[in-house]
Amino acid sequence: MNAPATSEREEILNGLADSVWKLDPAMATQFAQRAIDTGMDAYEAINDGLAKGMMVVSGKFDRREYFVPELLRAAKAMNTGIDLLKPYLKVDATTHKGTVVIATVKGDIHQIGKNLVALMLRTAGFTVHDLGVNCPAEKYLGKAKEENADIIGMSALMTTTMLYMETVTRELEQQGMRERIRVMVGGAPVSEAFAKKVGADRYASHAAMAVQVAKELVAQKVA
Amino acid sequence: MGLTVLPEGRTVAVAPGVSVLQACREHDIDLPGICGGRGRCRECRVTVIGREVAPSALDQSLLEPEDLAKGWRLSCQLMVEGDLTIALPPVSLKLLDPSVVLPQLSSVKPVIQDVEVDLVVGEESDRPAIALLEEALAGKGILLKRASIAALRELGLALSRREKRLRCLLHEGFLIDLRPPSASPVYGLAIDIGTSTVSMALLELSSLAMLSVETERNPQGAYGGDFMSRIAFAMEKEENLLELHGKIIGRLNRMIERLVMSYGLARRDIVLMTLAGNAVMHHLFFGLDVKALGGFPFRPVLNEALVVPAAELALKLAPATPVVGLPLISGYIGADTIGVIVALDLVNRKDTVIAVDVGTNAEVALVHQGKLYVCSAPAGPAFEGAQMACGTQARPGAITKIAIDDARQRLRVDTVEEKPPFGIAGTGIVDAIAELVRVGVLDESGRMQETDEWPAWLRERAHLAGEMRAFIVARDPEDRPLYVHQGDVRELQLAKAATATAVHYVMAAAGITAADLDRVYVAGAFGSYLDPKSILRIALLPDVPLERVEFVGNAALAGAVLATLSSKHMETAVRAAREAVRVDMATDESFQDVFVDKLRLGH
Repeated sequence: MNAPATSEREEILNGLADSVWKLDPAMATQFAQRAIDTGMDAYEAINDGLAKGMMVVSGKFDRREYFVPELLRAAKAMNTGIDLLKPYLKVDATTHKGTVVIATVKGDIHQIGKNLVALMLRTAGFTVHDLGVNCPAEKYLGKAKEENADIIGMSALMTTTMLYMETVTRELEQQGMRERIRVMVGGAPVSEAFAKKVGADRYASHAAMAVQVAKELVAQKVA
Repeated sequence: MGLTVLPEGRTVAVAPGVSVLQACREHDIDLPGICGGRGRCRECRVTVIGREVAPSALDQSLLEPEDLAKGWRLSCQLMVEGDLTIALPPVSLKLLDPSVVLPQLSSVKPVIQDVEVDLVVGEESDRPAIALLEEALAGKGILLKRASIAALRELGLALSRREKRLRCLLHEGFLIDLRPPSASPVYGLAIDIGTSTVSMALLELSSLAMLSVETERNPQGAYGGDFMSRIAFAMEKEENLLELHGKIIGRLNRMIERLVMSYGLARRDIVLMTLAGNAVMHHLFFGLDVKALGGFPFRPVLNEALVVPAAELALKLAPATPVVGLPLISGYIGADTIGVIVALDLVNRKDTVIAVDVGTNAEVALVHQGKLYVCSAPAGPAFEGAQMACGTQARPGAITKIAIDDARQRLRVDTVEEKPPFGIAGTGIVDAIAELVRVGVLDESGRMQETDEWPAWLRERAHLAGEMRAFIVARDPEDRPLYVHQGDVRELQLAKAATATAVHYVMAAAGITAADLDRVYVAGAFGSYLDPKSILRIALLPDVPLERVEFVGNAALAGAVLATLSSKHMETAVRAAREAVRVDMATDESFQDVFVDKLRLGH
């Protein structure tokens, strides 16, 4: 099948993008189907369509116009589109963004923020291994080794538990894994300065930003 | 180096390189440090007087340029180098000091037994005096288990003076004190140590009268507004635990001192002290390690009722005076919840009621068909106005109430002490959000609408705070806007959702719906100042008619008062701690869905 004409291509990509920020799975289905029917490249439909919509969502989240429920609904719309398009993806290294091991640190059982980050990363094409909550250093490191992870993501919601992040970075250091694995952290009491202090590479203040940060960390690694 | 602190005018010696916040901590000068000196809030700001001090990077990022020009600096970043004079922000004389509501107490079995006995002394017998006393007490049906050294000294003296009639004061078989017969009153103290404030009630035990309630700031506030930051401080090094312990004991001693002076009391006439407080405040009061309370699985050192002589805590009472800590339910459901349960007599009720303590930590207790369910959730400091763009504590000039009058197209604000507005307190933010939902500036998801969708007469109040939409509530005397922005709404939604989720889970555990609730009690210092209409509208409480909502003030303290006066109530406390069903929500599979649903500002 031939690629769709420019104007139709634009319309489909816009439709896909709009479906995400309008939080509309039915619309995502409709435009993903049109992308498939018109023979549009599936990767392009995801990257220039759905993912663009997620960037709009991210901007709205920055202004807090959107919040947790909208983020969840946007991810749902995007995943609906991706699920339809997936069988048409040419297996290509470029579709895999990287591997992340993520969990809430030991002593902490808050999960929502971490779940959101995991969801957004998956939606953005990362392979995510979510180790849940109350995660000790050994478990982070073990999984990261096993999956040859690019990134370890840590979340903490309490001033008392966020200190544990340093235990994990130190352990990475001691096991000689720190060179290979990037560390990103987040959670309400965590800050940019704190991230530096505990030896993390980056801090992300919310789930949508975490995707950006993760992409940059993987890009750095490649470069 | 000298640090002079206005308006008091006190000068304290400070070592170089110490921050102003730290110096204030050391010298017991109250300065709120919501974030615990981590440079994440601006509550600890002070004004530097008569000198130029270059603002730190954090000053520049957290304070407005015009405030920097006025000499405002964050005290956690401000180092004392050379003599320095600072002015503290104005503090309200009227601290949040809610009423203590007590039930009618007619005749109670007292906690302190206050009896007169006659010793039968055989002139030729060498039986020890204490055995004679034991016998005399047994005749009154009282089992003497132990005696304080003060009581033994009195006993010996009494016998050598040939005084055979004695007045005995006992606590659970422990003879606290002994004296010649008299009808002079003896007293008890009931205390509630909250994360932000400490309240102390003075009780006359025989007449069951509450003579006074004093409230002061918890001096540990300088180490962080929420208790987690105090645990974090205690984690830094072991001495820090004792520092926090010493701060609260010091403050209580100051309060006791004042009561003794103003009521002309003899210290030995204070014969009992009972304490309520969340698990962390309870542990810090007794000097017990709090590190294990800082994270999962939140293990307390102990959870049963604890009795310690005052001397072991360095409290300025008679050394043997028993200090009773009410039991905890768990490491995160503390003796404050027990206090609330006792005050409302939840374990003995046949109706279906829920009590919600609204604050930094939400505690919820529900009784249904005689069964008690409890749950707690960290709501964070949003309700107290912390981390809100124009948020403030309830100081003079803080906006505490907001009402939008559509008919007359007017917006009314109330401020503390009717001073010109300078910030918005937590209650004001709750009001504002409830009102903005009602008039359609916010939708139920919490999203602030485009200005052209606002009621026309309110549109002039639209504002852009950075990139965020905002609603101007009032202007300060310098015409700067005081607003609630989209981010503030979200912060409040998180606190509200945490509380409402805890409420949801206890109701689910009991298998009831809002319609089953005969009564909804709102407890706590903060809760008492909330507008019931506002908290119903934003669905902080279950969906019940307004008339079923009742504010019960500082119920934790009321519970401590009852447990000081009446042994039945003390037993209730012990029973409640054993019988309460702890509802665990964080590990529930549906937790995230429930929480997200509870973010909604409506039922």
